Amino acid sequence: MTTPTGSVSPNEPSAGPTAWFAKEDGWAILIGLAIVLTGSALFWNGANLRWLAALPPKWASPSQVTADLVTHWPRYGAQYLFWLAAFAIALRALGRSIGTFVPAFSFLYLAAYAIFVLGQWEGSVRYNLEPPLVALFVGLAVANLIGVPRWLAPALRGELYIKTGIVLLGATVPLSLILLAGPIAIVQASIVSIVTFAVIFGIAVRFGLDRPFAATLGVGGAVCGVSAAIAVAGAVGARKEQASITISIVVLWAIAMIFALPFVARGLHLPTGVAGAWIGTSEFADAAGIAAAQTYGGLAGKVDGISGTADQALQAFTLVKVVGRDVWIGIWAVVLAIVATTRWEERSAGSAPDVREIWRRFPKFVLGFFLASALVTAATAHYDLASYNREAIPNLIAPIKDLRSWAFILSFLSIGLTTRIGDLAATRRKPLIAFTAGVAVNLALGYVLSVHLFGAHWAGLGQ
Amino acid sequence: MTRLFRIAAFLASPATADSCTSCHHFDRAPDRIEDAMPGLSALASAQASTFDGNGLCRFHDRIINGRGRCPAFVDQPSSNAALRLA
Repeated sequence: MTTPTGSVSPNEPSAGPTAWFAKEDGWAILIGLAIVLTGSALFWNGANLRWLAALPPKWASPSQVTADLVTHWPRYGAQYLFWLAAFAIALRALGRSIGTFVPAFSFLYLAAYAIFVLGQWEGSVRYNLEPPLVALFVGLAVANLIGVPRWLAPALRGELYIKTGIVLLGATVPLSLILLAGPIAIVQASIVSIVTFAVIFGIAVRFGLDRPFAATLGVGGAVCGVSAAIAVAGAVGARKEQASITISIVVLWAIAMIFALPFVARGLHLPTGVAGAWIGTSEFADAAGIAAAQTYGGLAGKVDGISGTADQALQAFTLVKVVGRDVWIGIWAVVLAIVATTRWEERSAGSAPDVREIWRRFPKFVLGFFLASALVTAATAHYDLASYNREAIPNLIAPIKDLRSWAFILSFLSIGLTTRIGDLAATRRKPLIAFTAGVAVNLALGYVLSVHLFGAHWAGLGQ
Repeated sequence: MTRLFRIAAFLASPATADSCTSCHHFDRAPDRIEDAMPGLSALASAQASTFDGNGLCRFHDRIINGRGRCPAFVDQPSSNAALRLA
């Protein structure tokens, strides 16, 4: 593609270091790694991040919550200011207004605090009041029954919060675990992704849907939900209506799965690592999957018959979903763009293959996940298991984990408050059937791989 | 081998000033894209790495990566003025 001057378009996506901070991923890495680096530096000097990582206590009587707040309000205040400053700087750099963000985020933080308090109640497990589910449910109920005021919208940046949380999650996953379990996660995720895509694409084409639409639907179900769908829609030039229908179907299925997968896994008494791998294979979005995996992990040790640890559920989910599925999004986009250009008649003249999209569409926050893991692994390399459990976990890992929980709850609340069912594009029967067939195959295949073929591996993850 | 090299070079060539990215109909503003597609910002974002340089072709009502060009191309004066000055 040349011009008389041979000039590059001024709208060409920028490259180099500045490009990193033109996207949310770069800021999620920066915020996450700043926390991990600070935590590691304090740990090395005999201190820790515990003061900042305030969390409501377990309680049986409301007076315990009040007493905690009276004692620790400066810690909650400092943490609120930290999150506010970090996200405000990021969003300002992304071209958004700080003035509208501050009041909106303040309200969101208070709502997240209330969700945490509810989740810490001793009866929360008995009534299924796990914080991720409560955050989503409350958000969905407010958004769809009452309505979300417009002034709250600037703080509803679920993707930024969840990516920051995933970078922090990296700090709690040893690098050796990623290297050992990563290949199996990639094999499992690749099998399911390819089969799911083939099912959705094949049925959609058989139904007479055009190929760009079928491909957009296919990756929405097979790779990473809305992100993959919109990436491939651009690569193959799908119509906006087709992308909107795909987004609607993915969002509806993803929300349903957040509640359904932990429920079914609980009924089957799956070990937490196994359930996490299944959720990683069968959920459509990172945030939705983390909500489901964290919910199920929270049942470990509290519900009879569920073995494993809470960490195993999140770690298995992240390995399968993030490492196994998300990182291939650029390759899917480029391959489908080449196929669309060379073989399909129904395509847009506005899109063309660009092999650099493999890197440009790479979900960069995954690098932050790896870096955080490498940093903490290096910082604790000289500890044996006993001293690691005694020193590193309470002073380095636990505070990062608690800050991660805040990032996740902010994200789950944002997702719920942003999902207005009535605003979603009306789904059509044929794409819905094609996608649902893919979901059915994905669930069954994911179950067989997670429970039977690799069950022992996932059940003993990190042990 | 030469042919393979040429294909690789084509795939890696940058979008140029006469591609959709310079067209009046091409809209890459994240807010407008998220508004145009309800649900996008719930589980994704128009400012994610995976979104890359995608935009909305307002003429054909399609999501495109902007590297192509069609007969409906309309020069966007501001961007090309900046280009000529450069």
